Amino acid sequence: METKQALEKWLNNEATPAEMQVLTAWPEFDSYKKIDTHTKRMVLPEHDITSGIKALRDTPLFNKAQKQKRPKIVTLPMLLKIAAIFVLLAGSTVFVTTLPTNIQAPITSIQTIELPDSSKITLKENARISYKKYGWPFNREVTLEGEAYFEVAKGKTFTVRTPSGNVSVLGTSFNVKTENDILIVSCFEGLVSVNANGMNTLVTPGDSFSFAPMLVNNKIYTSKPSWIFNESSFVDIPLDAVLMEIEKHYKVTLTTKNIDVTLRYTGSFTHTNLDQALQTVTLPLNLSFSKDSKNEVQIYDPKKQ
Amino acid sequence: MEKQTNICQEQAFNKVYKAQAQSLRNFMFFKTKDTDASYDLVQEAFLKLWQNCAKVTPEKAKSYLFTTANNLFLNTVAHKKVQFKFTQGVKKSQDNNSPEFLLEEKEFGQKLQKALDSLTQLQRTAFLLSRVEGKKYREIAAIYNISEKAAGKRVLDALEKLRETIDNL
Repeated sequence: METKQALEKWLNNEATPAEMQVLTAWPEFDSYKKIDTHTKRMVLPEHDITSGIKALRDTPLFNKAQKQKRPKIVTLPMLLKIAAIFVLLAGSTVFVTTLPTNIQAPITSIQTIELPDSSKITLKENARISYKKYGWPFNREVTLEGEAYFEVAKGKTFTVRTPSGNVSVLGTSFNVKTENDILIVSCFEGLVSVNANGMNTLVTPGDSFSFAPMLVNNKIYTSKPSWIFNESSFVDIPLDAVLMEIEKHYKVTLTTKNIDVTLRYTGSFTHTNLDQALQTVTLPLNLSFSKDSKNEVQIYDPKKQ
Repeated sequence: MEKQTNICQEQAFNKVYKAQAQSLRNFMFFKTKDTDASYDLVQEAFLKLWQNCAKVTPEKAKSYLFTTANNLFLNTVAHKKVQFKFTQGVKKSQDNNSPEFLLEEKEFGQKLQKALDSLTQLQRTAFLLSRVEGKKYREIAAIYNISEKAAGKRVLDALEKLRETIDNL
């Protein structure tokens, strides 16, 4: 123990003469001394001060630190702060403008929406649209599912995206109906361009195009789609299709007796009064109807009875 | 009143460089055993000191340099397998110049190298700082931020381990 303490002191060049005596008397001390002397002969790399400083001065990082010493401390973090604020602002603006607004009309009634540029969209029952409210001035684009009537304010291109194709206009009134794969676009005012099935078609006022599943051209005779006024209108449609529509709207069962259901019907019926609706459909075709019970109606030809 | 010295001033920085570069170089050399690598580490440490000159007072510069260099060293992963070199022993008498003596010297040098390799990096550096650099325990303790006692023990342990290893070779 004593020798160890002396050895430790000797290593620190602090051994007293007495301790040195202890050490020299110790047989192992020679080998320690040998290690010491040999180690001290280690070849060390010589550090050239002048060339070292010069090399340091030549490093680009060194000069950078030198030049911007004072302003760097104050302005760079400041600049970063400002930059961070701008990045945040820009980021949140982009985020907000791309936030979609979703609107779905109730199942039982139509709904009218006014867009930021005072364009108007009337949604048919259960129709759904989505658009970017805050990005509206830059991007007039609406995604539609179901049927809707558009009255577009003049301005940049207004686009309606549907699963079957895109409808774009500059300022006009038109109706878009989508259902499953069906896409029907009716134009009431202005000019509508429809891009569907890789084809671009212009729809002029008074025209109604069915684009999908196949291209069919129909005429319209109203200034607005009939469903807006709670009416269904038909142009040259078989009678049974019209009757089915009445059944759907009034939740009644219609039966026919000795009449030709392939008769073509052009006209409309109201959604608010069953008697009126039945009259407007049967009268032009010289047919009659009788209400058998609350929910059952029979349509027949009075002359053949 | 004396003008406050700042390492950001070139003259002050150069003064620190002149005072510390060689001992820092040795310190890094003990760690890396590599002439070039130790040079790079020293330069890098001084570059860091320059970049942070506003935060480091001249009194703290030395410890800042050693700590930084030590951290930089820890960041370097790959170590080349290099060996220390020793100068020839001083001839005390005619006898010492004999082939036997030279051979023995050479052999001992090789043994010492192997023994130094067997030490941990911390032990080796502490030992070499003490022996080659002649640093006191107090200075070694300051570099590693340990107590003086622990520094002394580190050096002593290293010496004992070296002797053991050499005896067994």
